[in-house]
Amino acid sequence: MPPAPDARPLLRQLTPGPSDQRTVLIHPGGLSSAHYRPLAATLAARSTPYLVDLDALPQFVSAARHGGAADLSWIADAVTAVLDAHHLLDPRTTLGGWSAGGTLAYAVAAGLPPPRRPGLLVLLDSLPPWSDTRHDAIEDTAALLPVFGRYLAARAGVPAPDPDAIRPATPPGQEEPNTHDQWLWGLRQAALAVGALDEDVSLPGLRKVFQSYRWGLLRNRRIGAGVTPGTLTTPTTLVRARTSIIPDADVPGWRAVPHLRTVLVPGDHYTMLTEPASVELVSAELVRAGPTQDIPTARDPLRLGPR
Amino acid sequence: MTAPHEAGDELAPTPVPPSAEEIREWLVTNVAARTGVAAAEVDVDQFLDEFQLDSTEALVLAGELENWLGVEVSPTALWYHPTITRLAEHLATSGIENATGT
Repeated sequence: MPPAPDARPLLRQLTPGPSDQRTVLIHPGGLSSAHYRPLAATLAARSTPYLVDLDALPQFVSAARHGGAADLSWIADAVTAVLDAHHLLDPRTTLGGWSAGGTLAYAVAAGLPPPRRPGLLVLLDSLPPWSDTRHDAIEDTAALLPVFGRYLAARAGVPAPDPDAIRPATPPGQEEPNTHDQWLWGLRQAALAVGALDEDVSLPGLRKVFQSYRWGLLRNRRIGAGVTPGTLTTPTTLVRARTSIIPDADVPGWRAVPHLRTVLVPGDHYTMLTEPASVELVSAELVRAGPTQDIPTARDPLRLGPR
Repeated sequence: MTAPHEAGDELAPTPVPPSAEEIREWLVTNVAARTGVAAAEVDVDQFLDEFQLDSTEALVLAGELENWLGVEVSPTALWYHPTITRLAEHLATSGIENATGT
């Protein structure tokens, strides 16, 4: 592929901070990187925050289209290379990521020799790398629309549409609409009611947004394929949103990780980066000391830790 | 301006693909409408992500462009051809043929 004419950096420092503590967050796209500003501002007093923006990789953008079949192991290699080039691979770094960014953070850490591993892993509502990656889990339009509605609402900064309000509806001018379009039109009406979409978003436009969202989910669920549990002993924290995107069937997968603790924060998968109470809790986890500090167990409400 | 496909149509090959100039005019009109500026003020050589269009709005625009063209626009087209002029030239010279599988 030719180089991009306006190549955005894969790694950038979000704000200045202390040089002896670094926090690297992997961002898998979906939301604007501006969503990290509250977290960066809170972190800056105790750590220098960096962002790995996967949307800077055109192959990552393209992989959403072919997420069902592509080998995505090169993504972890690309992230490892950029962190290595900036001397960020050692125990002074806390490595984390939101959503699939956390899944990839785990894969990156698992691929490193111990001296170069981060001191702490913090995964923000992320699926285990060995989670279910079946295509049919993404293909059910009706089942996916409530999550898609939460995504649209988070972007717009409004409350999510009521899932029960998402009903099939016939788009105007279509005498024989297909089921997919009827569900999308119903989602559009529910999203309009809460201000998550503008009136001028047409059905073709919404189809494109939903298609991109669905393919991106499939890509993200394959992003850590090949990584197995039990190979990494780095202290790991799973921060789960109260309204999480992690399917119940995937929750037990994290129990295979040694030294795992879990923390529950307010908000949903998309608002956990910006909701003030959640930002405070996430920030505290990111700057928490590593394995030498006692790890409290009282904040393991989901009982995901090793048993 | 020609309108190969009306809103709501399913994708289908365009009988006569629009020229780069026609695609540029469509993009100017629609970017202006979405950003609330006059069409005359839309700089066709400005990066699209500088038009205050977020990625969802850009995808909506891409979906409507696909519907108008009757072909699919590659997800990386905006990445590699980030201005109205360059995207229009790309779609007129290669994007439509590629998208239709020819």
